[in-house]
Amino acid sequence: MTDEDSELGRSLPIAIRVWFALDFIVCCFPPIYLAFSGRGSLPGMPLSVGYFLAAGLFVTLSIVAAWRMSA
Amino acid sequence: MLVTFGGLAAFFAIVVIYLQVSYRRDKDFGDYAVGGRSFGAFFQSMSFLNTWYPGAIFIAFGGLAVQAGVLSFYLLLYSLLTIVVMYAISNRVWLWGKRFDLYTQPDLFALRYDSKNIRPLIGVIGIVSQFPWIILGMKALGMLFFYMALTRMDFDIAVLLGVVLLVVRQFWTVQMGMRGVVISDMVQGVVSYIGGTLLILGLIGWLLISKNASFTSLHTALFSIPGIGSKQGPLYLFALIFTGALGGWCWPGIFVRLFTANSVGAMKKAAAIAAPISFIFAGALIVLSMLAANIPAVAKAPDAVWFIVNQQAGGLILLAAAGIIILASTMGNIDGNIQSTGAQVANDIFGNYIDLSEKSKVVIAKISMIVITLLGAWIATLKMPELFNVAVIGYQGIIQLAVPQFLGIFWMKGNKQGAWAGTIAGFVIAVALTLYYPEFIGPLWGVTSGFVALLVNLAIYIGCAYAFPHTNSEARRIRSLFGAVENTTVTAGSQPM
Repeated sequence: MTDEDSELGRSLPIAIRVWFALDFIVCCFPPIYLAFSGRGSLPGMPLSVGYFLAAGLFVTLSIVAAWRMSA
Repeated sequence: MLVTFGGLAAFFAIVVIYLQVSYRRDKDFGDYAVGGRSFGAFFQSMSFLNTWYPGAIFIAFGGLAVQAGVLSFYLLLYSLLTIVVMYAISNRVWLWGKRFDLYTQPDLFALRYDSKNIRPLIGVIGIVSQFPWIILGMKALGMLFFYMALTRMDFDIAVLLGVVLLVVRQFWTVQMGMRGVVISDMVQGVVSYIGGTLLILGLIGWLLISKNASFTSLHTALFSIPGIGSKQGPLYLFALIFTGALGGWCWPGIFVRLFTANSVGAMKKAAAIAAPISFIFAGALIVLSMLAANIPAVAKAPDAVWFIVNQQAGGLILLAAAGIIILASTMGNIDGNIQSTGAQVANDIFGNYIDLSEKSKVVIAKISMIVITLLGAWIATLKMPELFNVAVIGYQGIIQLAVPQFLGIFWMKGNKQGAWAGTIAGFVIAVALTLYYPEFIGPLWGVTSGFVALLVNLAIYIGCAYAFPHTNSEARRIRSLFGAVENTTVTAGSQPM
C-alpha cells in the first residue's frame, strides 16, 4: 500500500467528526436557532446577534482545531 | 470624482502590473486549468475567499442587514460551514485530482462514476447555472461606479463603464488562466478581506463613538428569526444555511480551488486561515450594516449602506477605499467564474467528444472565455429585470450536484444510474418549483425549492444504489479509489481524456 493509498483511506479523528456534525446542528437545527430569536434581556447585546456570533465562533474553532490536530 | 476614480485606477494598475510581472507561459492544459497544482496555503485561502465573496455582498447583504436584520447572518454561518465541508472533502478530492490528473469538477464525476458521458451533463449544468451570476457581477460594478461618481452619473453609463473595465481585466485571465486567477486573488483577497475587515471594524468603532449607534435603538423586529407564524416559516433559515453550505462546492469556480493546491496539507491549512478571516469579515459586515440602519440616508437607500457609511466617516478617501474593496472582490469572483467556465467548455464538452491535444484544449478554453466575457458583457448592458430570477433558478439547480458529489466522495455504494437520474430529476424539480416559489415554499414551513428537489434527488440516488448494485469489477474499482484495496487498479475508461 502506497502513502497515497493510506492517505486516501484515512478519515478525520472522531472528535473532529463529532464537532463538525455539531457545527451543522448548532447552525441549522430550528429549535436551537428559534430559542435565540429576539432581543433577549442582555443589555447591549441582543440574544439573536449573540447566537449567530457564538455559532460562527464555534464553527471557526472546529476548523482551526481540526487543522491543529492534523498538523 | 478624481479621488474615487483615481483610487480605482491606481488599484487596477497595481493588479495588472503584478500579473504582468508574474507572467509565465503555461506548459500544458494542467498548468492552464489548475495552475500546475502549485499553490500553498495562503494563496489557496485568499483564492477561496476572493471567489466566494463577490463584491455584490457589500451591496446585497448590507442592504438585507439594514432591512431584515439578523436573518442576514445566514451569510456568516453558511460561509463557515462551506469551509467545514472544504476541510472534510479536501483529502480525497485533492488526492484523486493529483493521481488521475483531474482538472475540473466534471472530471471527478467521470472518475467516480466511471461514466465518460456524465462529464458534459455536469459541465453544462455548471456553466448554465454560473453564467447569470457572471452577468450580475458585471452589473454590480455599475452600482460601484454610480456611487464613485457621487451619484452624478447616469446609472446605465455606470453599468457600461463597469462592464468595459471587467472586459479589459479578462485579457489577463484569458492569457494566464488559473495561475493568473490565483495570483491576482492573493492581492485582491488581501485588500478585500484583510484590508476590508480592518476598515469594517474601524467603521463600527466610528458608528459606536461618533454616531452613538447601538443595537438598543434598532427596531425589535430586526432581531427576530423567522419562526412558526412568520411569513417565511421556521425552516426558512435552516434551508438557506444548509443548501448554501452544501451548494457552495457545487459551483465550478469554487470546486476547482481543490485542484490548485500543492498538497492536502495546504488545503487544510487554507481552511484554517480562511475560517477566522471569514468569521470576522462576514460577522463584522452584518453588524456594521445593522448598526447603520438608523442613519437617515441608509434608511432611504439600504443597498448603499457600504458607500454611505464610508463617505460619512471618511469623505472621499474612505469612499475610494470602499470602492477599491468592492472592485477587488468583484474581479476575483468574476475571473474565477469565467476561467472555470472556459476550462469546462474545453475539457468537458469539446474534450469529451474530440481527442484534443493539450495545446488545442488551451486554445478552446481561451476562445470560450472570450466568448463568455463578451456575451456576458452584452447581456449586462441590456435591461433584463428577470435576470435575478434566472440566477436564483440557476442556484437552486446547481445545488442538485451536491447529492452525487458528496455521496460519491464519501459513500462507495452510489452508482452512475443514481447520479444521472437523481441529478436530472433534482434539477428539473428545482427549476419548476422555483418558478412558483422563487424564495421559499410557505406550505412547507419555508423550505426552499432547491431543498425539496435535493430530497427527491437523494431518494433516487439511494434507491438506485440498492436497485442496481455494483458488479464485482466496479466494486473493486471503487474500493481502489477509496484506498481500501486489494491488488486492483482503476480502469483506464474512467480516466479523464
